[in-house]
Amino acid sequence: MLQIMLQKLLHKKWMVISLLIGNILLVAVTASHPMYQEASLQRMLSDEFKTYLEQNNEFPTMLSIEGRQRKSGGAEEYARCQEIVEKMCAELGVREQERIVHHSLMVTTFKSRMERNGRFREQKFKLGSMSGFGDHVTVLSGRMYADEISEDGFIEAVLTMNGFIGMDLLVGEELDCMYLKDAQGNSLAVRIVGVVNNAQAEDSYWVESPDEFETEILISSVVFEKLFLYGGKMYEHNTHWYVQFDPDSVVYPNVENIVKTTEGYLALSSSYGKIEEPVYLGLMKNFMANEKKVHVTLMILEVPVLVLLCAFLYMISRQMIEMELSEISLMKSRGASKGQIFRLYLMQSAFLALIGFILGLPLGSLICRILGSSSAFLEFVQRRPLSISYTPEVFLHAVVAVLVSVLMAVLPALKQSGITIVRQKQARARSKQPLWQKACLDILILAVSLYGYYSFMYREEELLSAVMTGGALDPLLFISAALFILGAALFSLRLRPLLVRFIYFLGKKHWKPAGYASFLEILRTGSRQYFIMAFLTLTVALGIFNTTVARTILENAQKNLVYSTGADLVVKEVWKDNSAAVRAGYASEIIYIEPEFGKYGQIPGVHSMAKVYRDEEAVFMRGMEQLPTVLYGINTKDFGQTTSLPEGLMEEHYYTYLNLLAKDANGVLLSSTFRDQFGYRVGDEFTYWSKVKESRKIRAEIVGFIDYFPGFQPGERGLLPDGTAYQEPVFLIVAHLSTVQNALGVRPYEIWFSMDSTAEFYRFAEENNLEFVKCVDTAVELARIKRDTLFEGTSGILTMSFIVILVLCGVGYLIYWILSIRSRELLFGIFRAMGMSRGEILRMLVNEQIFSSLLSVGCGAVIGLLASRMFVPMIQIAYSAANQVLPMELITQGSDMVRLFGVIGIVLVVCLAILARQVFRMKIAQALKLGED
Amino acid sequence: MIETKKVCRAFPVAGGEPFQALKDVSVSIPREKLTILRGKSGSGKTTLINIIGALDAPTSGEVFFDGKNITGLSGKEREKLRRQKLGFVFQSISLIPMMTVYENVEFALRLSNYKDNRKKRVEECLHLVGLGRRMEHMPQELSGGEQQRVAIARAIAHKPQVVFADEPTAELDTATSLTVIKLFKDLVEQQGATVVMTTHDMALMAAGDVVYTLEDGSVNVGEESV
Repeated sequence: MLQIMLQKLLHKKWMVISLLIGNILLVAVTASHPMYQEASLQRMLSDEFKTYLEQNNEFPTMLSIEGRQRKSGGAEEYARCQEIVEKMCAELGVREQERIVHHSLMVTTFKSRMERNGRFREQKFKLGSMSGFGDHVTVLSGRMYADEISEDGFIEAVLTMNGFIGMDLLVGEELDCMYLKDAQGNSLAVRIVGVVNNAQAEDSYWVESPDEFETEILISSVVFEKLFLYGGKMYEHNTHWYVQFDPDSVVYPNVENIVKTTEGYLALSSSYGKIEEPVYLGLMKNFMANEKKVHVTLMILEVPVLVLLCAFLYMISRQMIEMELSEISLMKSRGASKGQIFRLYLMQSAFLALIGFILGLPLGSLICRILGSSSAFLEFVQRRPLSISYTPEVFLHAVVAVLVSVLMAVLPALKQSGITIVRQKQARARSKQPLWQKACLDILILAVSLYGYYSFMYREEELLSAVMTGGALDPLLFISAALFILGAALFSLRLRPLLVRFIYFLGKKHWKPAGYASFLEILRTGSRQYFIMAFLTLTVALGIFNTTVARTILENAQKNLVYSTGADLVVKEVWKDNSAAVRAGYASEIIYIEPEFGKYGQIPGVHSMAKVYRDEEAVFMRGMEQLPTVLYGINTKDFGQTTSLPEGLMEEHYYTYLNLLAKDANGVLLSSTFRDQFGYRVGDEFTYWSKVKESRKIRAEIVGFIDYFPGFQPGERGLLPDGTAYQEPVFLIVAHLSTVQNALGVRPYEIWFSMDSTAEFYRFAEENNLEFVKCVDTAVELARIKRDTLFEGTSGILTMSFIVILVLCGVGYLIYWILSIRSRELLFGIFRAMGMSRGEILRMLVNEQIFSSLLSVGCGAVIGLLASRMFVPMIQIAYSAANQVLPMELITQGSDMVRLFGVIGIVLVVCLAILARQVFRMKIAQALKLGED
Repeated sequence: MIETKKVCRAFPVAGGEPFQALKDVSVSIPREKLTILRGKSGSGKTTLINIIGALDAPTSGEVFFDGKNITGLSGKEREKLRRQKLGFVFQSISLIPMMTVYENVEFALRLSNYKDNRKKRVEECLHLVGLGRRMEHMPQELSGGEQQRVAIARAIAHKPQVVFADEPTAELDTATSLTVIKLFKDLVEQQGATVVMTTHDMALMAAGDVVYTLEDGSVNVGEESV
């Protein structure tokens, strides 16, 4: 049987190749999902840690547990606390990087043996020890303490630099501990042997900075534990454990456990010892919310391409079996049972699926790598690679893919293995309406998707609030979109015969034989081609939909970012002022010293720059109420040169408004929220002031209203406690910088730049030791968006889907046509014998292609555009969230369309070329002979 | 009507000597007669009928149609010849499956650019083969004999000068075969058609006006008139 199968496969190499392509892609796409998810989530997690470390200079993966031991029973309390620390660390399942145990006794009195001003000073200090202390300090003076009590009976101790200054002790000074005794009841004494400081500036060991040991005398922890813990005398005593674990050892599947374990111990916190809420808990919770979102989004995005792959496998398998029907009937006539034939197909598909499994897994990991480096739709960058691993989940997915593939291949065999050649030929004669059409399944699907569409349209606010609370977008929305595409594609199949019939009847009497035959072919046997037509329509529609989703999401996010930043680079330098003098009472008003502005002009690559005074504390009066507003003070010319707004955002061009302002030194531009909320009109007088200087009210004339302004958020979105989203209007006043400075004085302003690259700026800033309160680099922020796992995953998966779609579309279409030509060779033989030329037969095929393929591509394009128009605005919500200001714009990039239709065009041409070759190579006599078998 | 002179036809065999399907075959097909080419399977009769029907070209030798040498004709010219002057009936079901009986016959008229009233001619031919009442059926809804009769109607519709039939009765039972042969006979006698037919069925040979017997690619010397 194996031999029969292999022989069979060798004879159908094209089919086998395309089935293999389908199988490999199915396994690869399916397996890449968990691989990519795991790898990218892992990256997202470590990025989260890293960002925190960079921004706060503090390790996020740190546990801090503080135990307090009383004088009596302290030993047990300590042991219990120690046990909790051990248990918790074990349960977290992470790798410990560093553990610091800080013991300290309550403040106690020390009496110096050194005479100062005729007396021996008594002071209150803490006595403590830090584990591993010696490895992290440098000795500034004296030496390090020994790990045992000195021969002359002193406990050796060191001070940190701050302690040395704060406690006013000297190296070599000896102190008697007035109330501390060892287990034998002997009094204790301390000798200061050195002053130390941290060895490295950046050291994760210094959870408590060396500066914090201002009143603490540090001794060896060996000595400490011997004296006061294990077998020693107990005093009231604090033990602080700092356990820092390796951020890289936190694997994302373990996050949930870590959060749960930590929360469990936190709940117990008070009764045993105090566990501080670790930083990582918040980060991980945030991660878990995002993880769910990424999870759902990636899954939803991948489903359509998986369905298409299955459809592809089914289609090719069905075609293969249709071709082999004569073989099947031959085998049956030789006594093969239905079961045997079925088993043959089962074995064959299992064999192909197995190869798919073997080759699909590495391809899957390659896909992951590509996904991880996609920066935008169909764009890739060199980036820190994802660490991809073959987890059991990956294999599980791949196995499921194999099973589905076998099922897809065997289904048509199951249907056909009982059929006889005669019945099959009869079935081919008159095409019946397919079941889905009879059941109006297409209309049903379309209706359901439209219902989904309309119900979502009325729930846009709800979608927004779901996203803002960290949820993923409702999968039903994606499903509605997918259903719409499917329903519309099927529905178009129902309409198409009507169109063909109409054209056919237009010229029934006049069609040339080739045209006539092709029309009859399409009309009578059209339903046999429903599958390839539906497939083609779906791929084109989905391709367009995918590109639109990917482009729209990313570009809207980018445009929004550019808008809300305002310019390429926005900085606010640190200004010197006389605040110290004001505090001391020497001056009554803060006066700022304006740093030189002109110096930035010399930075290469700066096109223009503008001073922008931005005041969030401005107010205006509305009746008896003071309302907050944002105030911009600008130089209209500089500002206009440095900033821009997208075309068509407002009634007039953005510059028109700036010009209105420029003409009137006393004028202000107001946000249209003023007009909409309070009915202000152009020409009205308007008074405002700033809380930084309440005494100066500024009078102005309104010269215009603006809906948008660079960097201005017209509305603040938020969530009410009941979960509904709201948008609160925000007000903006744009005035001349000179007017504002006249009133408020020269106060720190921002500098906005329009420039080629910010690298030169940073170099300049470093060379001149410039310090900034604020520095927002649009390019950096853009890169951050692109790196975001949700965005990256989305554009990655959409890119992958698009490529898979292109492959499937090409291979599927080609193979389907070649096969369908093969199965019609006898018919062509008859045509040829009756005197039809090869050209006529080719024309017939071209005609058929126009009405099946081109029409399908056209329908697919229309459906894809329609679906994009309907669903993308809602899908985009998932990615925009709270700071979306600019109106959403649907983006369909021409180059993507060129790619899509280019590939389809090439496939069509290649297909025609192959068809032509087949028709021209066909020997009539041979073709007729074929039919005689 | 048609004459072949020393026609040979060789088929290339992968990795071997070409297979000589026809060796120096010279036959003459008389006008308005039923000519039968007989022989066992593999004797070369289908090759021969393909060559005289301008479906295939000989490797060497010449074929004359109406006194005109058609051996060197281009593919286009041969197509035109087939389209207008020849009609074919094949062993297997050779009707176009997606066309009705009526459309199958009409298609032949379209192909030969038949200018007269096509509907009338189609009906005439189908009445002639006794299928006047099944014009709107699809081929698969007819029995084998009926299908072959439609094929004959289609083959004669455009009034060809010669009708070729390659084993037209091979897939039919004896009774039906006889009906089909009778139809050919009637065509020759009543319509004055020229028919060339191959068969391996000895029982049908009596119907032929002229019978050639092929054996291993050669014609046995001397034509047998009945």
